[in-house]
Amino acid sequence: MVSDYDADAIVIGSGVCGSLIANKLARAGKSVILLEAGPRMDRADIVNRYLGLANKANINGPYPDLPHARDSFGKDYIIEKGKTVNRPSYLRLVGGTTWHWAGAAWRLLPNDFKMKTLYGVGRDWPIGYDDLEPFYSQAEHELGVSGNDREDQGAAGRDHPFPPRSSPYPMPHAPFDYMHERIKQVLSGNGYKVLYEPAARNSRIYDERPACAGNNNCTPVCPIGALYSGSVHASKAEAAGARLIDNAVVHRIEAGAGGKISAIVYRTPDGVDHRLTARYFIAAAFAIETPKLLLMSVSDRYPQGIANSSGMVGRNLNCQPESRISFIAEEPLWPGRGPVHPQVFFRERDGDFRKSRAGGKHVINNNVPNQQIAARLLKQGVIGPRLDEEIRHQSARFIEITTQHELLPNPENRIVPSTTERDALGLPRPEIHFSREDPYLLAGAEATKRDYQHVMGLFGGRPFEDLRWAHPHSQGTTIMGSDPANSVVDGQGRTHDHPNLFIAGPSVMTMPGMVNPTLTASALALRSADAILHEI
Amino acid sequence: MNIADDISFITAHGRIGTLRNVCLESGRLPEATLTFPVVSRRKVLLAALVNAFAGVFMPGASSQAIAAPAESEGEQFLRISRLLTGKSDLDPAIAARTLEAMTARDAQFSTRFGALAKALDTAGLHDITDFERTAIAADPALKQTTVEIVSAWYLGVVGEGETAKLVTYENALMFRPTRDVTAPPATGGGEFGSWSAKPQ
Repeated sequence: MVSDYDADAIVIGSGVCGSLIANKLARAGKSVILLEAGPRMDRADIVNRYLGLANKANINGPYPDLPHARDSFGKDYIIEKGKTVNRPSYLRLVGGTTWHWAGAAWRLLPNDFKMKTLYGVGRDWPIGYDDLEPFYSQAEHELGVSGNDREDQGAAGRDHPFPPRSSPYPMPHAPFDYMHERIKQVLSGNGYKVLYEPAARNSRIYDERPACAGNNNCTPVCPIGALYSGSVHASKAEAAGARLIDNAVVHRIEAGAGGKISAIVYRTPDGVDHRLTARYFIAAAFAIETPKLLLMSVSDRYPQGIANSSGMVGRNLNCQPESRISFIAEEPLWPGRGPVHPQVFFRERDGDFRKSRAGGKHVINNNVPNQQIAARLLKQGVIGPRLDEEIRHQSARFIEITTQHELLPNPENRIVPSTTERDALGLPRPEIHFSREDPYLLAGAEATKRDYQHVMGLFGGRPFEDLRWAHPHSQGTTIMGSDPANSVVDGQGRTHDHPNLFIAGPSVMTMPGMVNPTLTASALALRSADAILHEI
Repeated sequence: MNIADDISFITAHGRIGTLRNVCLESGRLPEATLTFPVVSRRKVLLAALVNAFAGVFMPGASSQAIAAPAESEGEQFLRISRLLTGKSDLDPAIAARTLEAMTARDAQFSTRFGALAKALDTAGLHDITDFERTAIAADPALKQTTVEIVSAWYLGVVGEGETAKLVTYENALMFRPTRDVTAPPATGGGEFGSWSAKPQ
């Protein structure tokens, strides 16, 4: 059948969310084009690049940094104009940013969806936990999540599993390593709820991928593919007939009559523009590139850019400010055996405290710590037999705690296309305005510091590294809401302004909660795919 | 995609590696992925024995080297590296890469290294344990060159920041003191769940 369109649907971005949608539509027999700004890379190439890296602490290190698809950490791309350097981490290659993650696959709690109503802060989501639950289950099966079906993940001491789930985890959780078993013993009796981290990491052969072999390298790259990455669904989508075009940087979305999106334009590394039409469009290019694309797509009719009648595109740049300290415990615990994030612990995950301060999810990391320890000893001039003794002593006792905090959406935190700086393709570079100086977060950070002192005391620790901050899990820049006047997409992920333009990925998340956003973003993407399939 | 069990292959560094249950999107093998799931206790013991013997004969070898005028800079670097790290089994190929990287990074390195080598030979240092008792330890410039060389061997990297150069990963000496319990990340694959046992 001859069609007036290049495809039924065009998906911009081949990360986990875009690829899930492309796969679902292609499997339903729809013609799909999946566009990716970066190149296609094989796991073997990424592992080789990792092994050859001098700075292995740079989680973006093994991934492409190309003139047309710059490394988000590189000095040639993101421009920081805010009080706090935000330094978002995302990857531009087929499969997207889940190439480097620890696989954390959490559900939000029912109360996370109604923070305004319950606690008077932030915003309510336009949908509730029950609306999303079936898609959480779907996402867990698509990604392959291993987890514990018996625990109260709300960390409130319930004697039954929570939140409610319509199907069990596809795979049982991996056992803790010795250190985390010991941590559980110590912390459980001292006011903390210690939980298995549900993870998109195989505990048996699943979906033609192997079980975790304990390579201890989830980030920056799992060498064997036991850990899920978006490349899995990019491949599945292709196998189902989707056409994947890599090195295709979409820089313009065009709207036609009635507000319907008619076409997108992408530029290839040779500088040539290509125009494609479709019935439906899904922007899934992550929380920095998606709003940048919408804001770049200005026209006489849409002087504020596409989907931006609310003025909220690019605003509410949220994340989960992550604090980190480390110390040397008294007893040998031996981090660095097995997956890198097997466990979390909470003081509380929900409750009235959220009226006045941000909650946080604590993790004791499980990375081989020799590099940091040896580098510090050498800086201190330690050589000879003492160097070996200290490396062994400290590596066996190294504890690093990280804590992701929830942050309230703030329109002043934003990403805009630079009006002065351009990349190699002549496209505006992203400019970020961000501040961590938020009273709600700062109050939460004080509680976190008290927990750090407490936990360090329980292990008889002496400080190794002082508190530092990072800003992972960028989100909120095309915020979901029921009111078109102050939000960009509705509860289905459809833009309020354009009936055939959907947005997928963490940029749609109304509120971050304390847990990693990937599973929620994936569930929302699958829900959007359902909505689209009802119409085409 | 397909899954292959326990593939052995030769790595880019000429060693035999094993990948367990690897998932290969392209169906081809990683060229330099090193995965040694088990370092056997026997191998560790053997290495310790070799070290012990080498240690016994080191002093003699060392004074012979002083007498031999024909020692090249590369040979001298390997000899001094063995002395400074206290490890007699350092790999000559890694030594050559390290010297090359250090020389490329700092045009003065050859001169600085020459001065250190001369000072070490003059001091008659045969065992790094005695380093603090030498005048070299109190000389900031010589101490700095010493630490630079030891750092390269331990971290497997020459220099810092964006211009840092990797000379070895899995053989970086920082991993050796814990090798019986942990492996360099991405090279230590084993059986699923093997990590739950308490390290001995």
